Amino acid sequence: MTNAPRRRSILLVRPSREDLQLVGLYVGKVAFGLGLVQLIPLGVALLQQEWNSATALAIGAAGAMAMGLSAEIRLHSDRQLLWSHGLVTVAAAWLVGAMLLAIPLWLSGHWGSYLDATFEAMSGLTATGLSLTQDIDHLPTSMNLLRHLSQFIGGQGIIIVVLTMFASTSGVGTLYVGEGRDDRIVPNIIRAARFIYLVAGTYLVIGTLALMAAGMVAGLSPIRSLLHSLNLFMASFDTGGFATNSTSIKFYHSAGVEAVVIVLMIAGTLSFGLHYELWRGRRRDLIENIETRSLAVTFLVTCSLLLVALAQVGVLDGMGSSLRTGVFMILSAHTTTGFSTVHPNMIGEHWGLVAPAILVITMSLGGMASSTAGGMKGIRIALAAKSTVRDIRSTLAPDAAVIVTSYRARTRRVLTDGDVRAAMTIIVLFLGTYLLGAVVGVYYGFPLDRALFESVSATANGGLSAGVLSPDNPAVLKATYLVQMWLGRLEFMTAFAMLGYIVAIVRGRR
Amino acid sequence: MSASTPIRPATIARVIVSFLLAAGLVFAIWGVRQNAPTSGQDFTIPEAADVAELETTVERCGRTLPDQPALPDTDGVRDFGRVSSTAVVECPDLFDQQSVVYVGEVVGDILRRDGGAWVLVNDDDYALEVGPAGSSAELRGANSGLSVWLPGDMADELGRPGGPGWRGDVIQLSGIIHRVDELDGGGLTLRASTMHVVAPAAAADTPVNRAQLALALGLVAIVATMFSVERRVAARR
Repeated sequence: MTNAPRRRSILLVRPSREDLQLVGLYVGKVAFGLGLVQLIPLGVALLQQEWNSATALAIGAAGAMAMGLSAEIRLHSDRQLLWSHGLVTVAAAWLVGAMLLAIPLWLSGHWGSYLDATFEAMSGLTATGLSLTQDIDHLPTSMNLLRHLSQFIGGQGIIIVVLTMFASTSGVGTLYVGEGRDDRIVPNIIRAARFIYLVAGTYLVIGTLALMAAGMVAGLSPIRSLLHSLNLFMASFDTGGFATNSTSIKFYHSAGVEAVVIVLMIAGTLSFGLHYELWRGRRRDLIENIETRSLAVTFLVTCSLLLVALAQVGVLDGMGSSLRTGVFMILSAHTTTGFSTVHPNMIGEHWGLVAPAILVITMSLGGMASSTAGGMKGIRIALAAKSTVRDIRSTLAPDAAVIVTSYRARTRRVLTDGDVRAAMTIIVLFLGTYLLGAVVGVYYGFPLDRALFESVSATANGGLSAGVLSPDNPAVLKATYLVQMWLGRLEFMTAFAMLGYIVAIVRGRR
Repeated sequence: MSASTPIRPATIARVIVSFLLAAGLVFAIWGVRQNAPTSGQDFTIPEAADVAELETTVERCGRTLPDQPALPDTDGVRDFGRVSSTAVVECPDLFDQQSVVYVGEVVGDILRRDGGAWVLVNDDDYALEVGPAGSSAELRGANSGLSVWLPGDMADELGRPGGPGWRGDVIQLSGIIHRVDELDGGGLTLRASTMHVVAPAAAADTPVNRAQLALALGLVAIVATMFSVERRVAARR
């Protein structure tokens, strides 16, 4: 036996009171913001005379605002946020936010348990679109609006809500980046946050009007069309995928509605940085950007494969229906929106193995970084592909040759090993989480293909279902999907930072 | 991470008190949710409505057709009698281009166009047994239904579709199932040939949850007080 002294391999510094105070203060600000957001559906509930929904929303709003105010009173600080504070704040805020929004949902009587309601709120905030709502076809208008609003604020980022409402410049950049927005649109974070809402607001007006027109052509009355359009816009542009009824987009039986939704889904999956360039009239960025190219290639490949797979299984007769269904489903999967024109059971039971597998791969790829979409993101796929090509070229080139690879993401950049390592780390984490979730699904008796479909859908914030998810699922399976949605939205590192913080509280040195 | 000030016992005590307050609020909310009043309203379809009995029960068949029962056959179209939406979704091949009877509640909106109307007709427990979830406090899972095309002026007989606080018209339809309806972009539909209303639309009594109202008022008062305290504290800083 050796007498070597025990050594700690990692230096963990226990967070001080001031550290926790700062995290609590900013989580409280997010809570207060979410309380204010609930006043919108509360107003609708009063107008619609949905009295129990109104009191449920009042409890939800007041609870969230009480938390925010107590943080402001007890924890006020003028200290600047450091990186660790920012990351922990973001991770905690998304968890607390889901738990707060779950309160009115649970009280509405349409969710079987508080876990189900928290699942729904997390699905909304992360713009996933998986749902445990029971009897959605009789759900109060105000509660439906709350679900869709959660996608709107979550799609842009709930921290953005705080930035724009309670603007302060001391270190808020850490919050912005922690939420998965590593693309600085403009140097000033507050201006960047406001630009994101400017884009979202502009699309809100145009998109809602276009959907309203399509809805009226489909047969809705103007007022009903407006209500549907508002919710549908938030679920489309924010690549959320919630619907106001049990049959998703199929409810409208309208190619026009599907066409407008497709445009909004694509707009939502473009990064806000690219929107900024387009806003400034730089249309060439759309073509030259490595991510748009990557997405175009993966869309064309997966769409072609899906159409072939559907033709082989023979579930859709005729070219017209195959094209309409295939293109919509691939775009819904690729943008990680989760709208469906097909019953989940049809995908799981009647589409064979290949077609659902293509949807799984497409969902796992996801949209653009710094957009409302989820998944591994086009930039990482493109960087991994470029790195592979570079390595092959290096192998074939003379020893003295130096192979330099560049890519364009708003500006021309040289591909470094650091870029590749960062991209591959996240890709591996996504793949591992897909598999872990599938194992839990298989443990509870679901076939591997369907368990993997649902696991990928949750982690990539996709929202399509192969019929596994239901209110009858075991609590552990629901909790697994809930954590997967959270991890996928924050792209792991922010969540890991919070877990590291908790370990530091328990085991760290003073 | 700053290491200037360690966490003091007083801080831990404050955190514990905060957690206890939050737990008290959670307990109150849980109590309100568990004791939500129910209307006791009866939503079952009256026997006098003369609704067809459910005949075909199919659980799982995938793409393989199960042993098909001997059914009346007219020019290749078999009459399955009354079917459930679950059976049709489970075995679309079995019912494709076949005649069925279907009973359910019209929900959502009536989409009138092209000389007819599209409706969503649910045959789940909320439609045929317990009524809208919020009023009965009984949860029976997700909704289940079929997309139905009502030709001509058939939809004119319908009243208010089901939605928040309403159970819509319950109708009995006969028609043909289309596994891939080209006119609907490949959707699974029922194209109706006859329809009659077996139970008219009815408002669901939703009693006001008084405990929930009291909790809401109490919390709003607390927030108003906290807001004024916060303003005063902010002014002193």
